[in-house]
Amino acid sequence: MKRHTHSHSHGERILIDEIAYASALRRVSPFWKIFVSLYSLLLCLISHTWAVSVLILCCMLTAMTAIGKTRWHHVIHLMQIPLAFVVLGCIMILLQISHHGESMLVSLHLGSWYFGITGESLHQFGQVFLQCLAAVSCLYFLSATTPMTELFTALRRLHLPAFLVEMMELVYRYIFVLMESASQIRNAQECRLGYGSLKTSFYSMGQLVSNLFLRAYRQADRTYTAMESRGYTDEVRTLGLTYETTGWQKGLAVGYSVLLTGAVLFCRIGGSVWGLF
Amino acid sequence: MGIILEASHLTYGYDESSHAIEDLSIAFEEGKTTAILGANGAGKSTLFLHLNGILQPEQGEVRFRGQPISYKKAGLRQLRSKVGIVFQNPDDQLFSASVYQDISFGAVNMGLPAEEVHRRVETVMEQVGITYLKDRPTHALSFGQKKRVAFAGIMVMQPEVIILDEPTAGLDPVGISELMHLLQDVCRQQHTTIILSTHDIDVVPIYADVIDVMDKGHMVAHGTPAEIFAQPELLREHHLRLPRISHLLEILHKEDHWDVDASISTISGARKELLRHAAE
Repeated sequence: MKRHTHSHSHGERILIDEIAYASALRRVSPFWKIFVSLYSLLLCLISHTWAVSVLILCCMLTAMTAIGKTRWHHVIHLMQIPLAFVVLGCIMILLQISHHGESMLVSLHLGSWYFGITGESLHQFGQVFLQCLAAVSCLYFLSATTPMTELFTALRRLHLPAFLVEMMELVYRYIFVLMESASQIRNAQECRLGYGSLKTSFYSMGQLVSNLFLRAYRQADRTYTAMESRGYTDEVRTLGLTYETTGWQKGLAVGYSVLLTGAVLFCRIGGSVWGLF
Repeated sequence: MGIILEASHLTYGYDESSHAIEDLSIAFEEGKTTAILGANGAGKSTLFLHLNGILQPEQGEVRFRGQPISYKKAGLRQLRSKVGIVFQNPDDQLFSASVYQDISFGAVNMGLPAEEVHRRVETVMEQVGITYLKDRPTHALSFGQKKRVAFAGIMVMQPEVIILDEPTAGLDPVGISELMHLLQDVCRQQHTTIILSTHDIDVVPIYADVIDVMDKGHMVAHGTPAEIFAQPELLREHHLRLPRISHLLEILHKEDHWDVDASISTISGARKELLRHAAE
């Protein structure tokens, strides 16, 4: 592990990107993965049932780790990123304010107000919390198994306007070049004590940003020239990537979708007929 | 072998006040490797951009196989499939995050059928030794790997002339000799004419058949490595130097009055010459 004296991340590496390229599910057609991811997301959002959320969360995490062979600690690291936002948002649901403290499980009495948690709010908190995590896991499933390049190919085939996909491709490719430039400038500034005090830090950061704009502009110019010399005229055309989706992978995706649909219907019917959930 | 590509009386300026190249004429022989030497700002890159039709000269013309090039869309497409440029910084050239897609770009632009493009991409990756990079994202490659991918992205078009702008810049010593051997092998197989610019004067005598020297937008000398390196004063006048081997022989000749030929510039040549001198 390399050690750095300052904390900013060092260019050219994005964790989710590396995970996607290393995933065992990478060669599966992006259409299947988009389908599984979005269908799960849809059902997660319309079901409002904690059981369905737990089911989706478990399936998505299992798919990423057991089938996609992504390491657990990477998945947990990814899930932690939105966790703070989810918890903060859900606390507002958990805490209730009322004039009557009797129904509260735990409460704090201030003047004539009670601040506390009721059975109802605890239930709602759990449900929304799980639903959020499940929804996030659906999107992580897609981004942790599908490199951006494959997603672009899929978007093209879904007839998104070509120029839009081209812009996305170029932006994605040159984010890494830009990140590298920024980190080089930053290191060079740091070497000359550019971040020694608050004042110099502001100055250095301003210089870094304006330099980066100039570099990006020139880079675009040089890239355009290089593309032109390889016969670029008005559309970026390359060979589409090919995929190998095995029969059992397709079967698994279909089976999972049927199971999930069944679970949602069961919870709905169970909820209204037998009063479960 | 005849002249494959030539420029005559080219003049071009990026702004009104000065010319990056002026009244410049040069001809490239088919099947040969030509090295263009010149200090920074001599106009090498500007010349290269003319040879591929990216820049259109203010005066003069560029001819491919005797025909003046057409700057119409079809003409340029034709020219660019025959004359390819590998740019100095691979990040300028590699615009796609997928190695495979990037290499396919030029071939797809030529309008080849998909199977042919697949076949070519796979063949060229094999030749350049980068098949193992097929599934890697461009941004995860090392500098040397990016250089190879950039080279493959041009060779896939099977050009008749390949222009390499500073192919050795930024590579480590082993990387330089590996890349140069690779370029030579692949180009020989495909009978590609090579034009390259470099500041690495020591590699020039090993790989180049012909040397052209540029300075301040003009062509100042043309000849074989032996002819050019026999004129150290000329090189120094234009901010260049002799290869280290020639420099050593020059000193032995001038200072120590050894009877050795200072225009020899390769290790094997110098070895023979010194052994001969020792035997006498």
